Amino acid sequence: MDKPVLLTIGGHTLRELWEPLSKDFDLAFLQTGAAEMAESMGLQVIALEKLLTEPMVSEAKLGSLVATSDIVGACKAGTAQLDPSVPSLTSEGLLGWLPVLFNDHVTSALARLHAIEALASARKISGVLLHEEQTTEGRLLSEFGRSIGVPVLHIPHANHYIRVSPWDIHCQVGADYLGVAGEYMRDWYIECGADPGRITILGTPQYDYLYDNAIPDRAAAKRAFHVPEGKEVIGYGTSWHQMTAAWGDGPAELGRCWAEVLSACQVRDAFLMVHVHYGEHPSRQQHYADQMKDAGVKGAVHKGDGLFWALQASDVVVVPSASNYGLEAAILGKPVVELWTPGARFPDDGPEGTWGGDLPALIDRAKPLPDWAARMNAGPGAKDRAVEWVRRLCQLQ
Amino acid sequence: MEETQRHDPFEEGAAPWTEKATRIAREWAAGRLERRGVSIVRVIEYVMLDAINRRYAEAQNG
Repeated sequence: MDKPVLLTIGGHTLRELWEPLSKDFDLAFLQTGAAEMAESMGLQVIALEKLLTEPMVSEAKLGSLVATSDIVGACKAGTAQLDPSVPSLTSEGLLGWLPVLFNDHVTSALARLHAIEALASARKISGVLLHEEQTTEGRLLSEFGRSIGVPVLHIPHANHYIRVSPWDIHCQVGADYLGVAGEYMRDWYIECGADPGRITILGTPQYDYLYDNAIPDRAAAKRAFHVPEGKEVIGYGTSWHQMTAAWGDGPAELGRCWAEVLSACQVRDAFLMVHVHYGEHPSRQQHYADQMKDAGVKGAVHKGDGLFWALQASDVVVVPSASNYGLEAAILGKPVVELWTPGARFPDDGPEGTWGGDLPALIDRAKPLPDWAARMNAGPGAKDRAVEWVRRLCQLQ
Repeated sequence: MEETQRHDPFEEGAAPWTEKATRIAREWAAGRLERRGVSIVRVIEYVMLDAINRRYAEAQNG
């Protein structure tokens, strides 16, 4: 007998849940790459895009063209003057990019919707599980789940460190239930207007391993990176530029932070342990190494899985903006310093921050923040709590 | 650059274009496409909002 189907996007932050959830559900992935990864783990799953047929794709293209033609018509008629102060948002400017972008996204969304509907006509759908609701994919699954009356569950992939605002799309909660990382995330969503009765503190499944005694200790990690005996190690988690997230001077803000940490390492004669954000281009690893060499700063550059090696080797960790790397460091008991950028900011009980000038002094003052880490993340056991939460809510139907 | 000269949305609230982009996205999405009970409007709203926000950000950042 077929198991009930659980629709999900495929985000890596919920990867820990795939195997245990597969015991009770057939997981259906919107992202084909994630489905293939799950299959490589020995799981039997459904890749939604593989259910697509030519007629479905044709119908999706037609539906999107109809919607896009409205935009083209408005641009040509000069009635799409969104903002005269921004050339690319005037009617003439919009015509150069908006219809094409819109058509691409909506064609993809409609085609995937066809595939989901085809599955739903053949199988019992028990629920939707999201790691992110505010993307085209997240909203598509959320809206579909709501339309057929199954529970939509959201385990947010990370805390939001931007002040709550009705204009922040992350405040637009469509999910029926939120499984949050800790008290901070719970309170953030309540401030957004979410029903407290539908919020459960689960913790963060992808952080469970940080509480595991099996990860290497500081001495072993330092040996792995050939840190000279007695040398201070400053950890730095790089970030990547996102146009919708980095305000101020855009990419230059991240370059400024990098220059500040290089300078601090020169002042303190410290070993710089860089962990490169997985979203950055592979060439950036060499970029950081070259810049360290030019600045005369000794250290190591790490990219890929096993970030705990880089964290454990660090005596103190510096992060540009309110990076998750800072929370991961705090969970491991590391002192953390935030280099501010315009935009997101850790809450007041979190790491002390600076625009950069007094970074060496802040590194001296930085202390472990166990209470803050506990407020941000509910500790080990998140995977088991999350699996039980999904099972319970999806079997209520 | 002095700290006081920075535009800091954390201190000032949402980025100046965010409210405008959200309003525009909702207006454009409204009634665009309804399909067999599954509302694609909120998906379109997101696509529009993301696109407009990127253009505002690019304009601000040069």
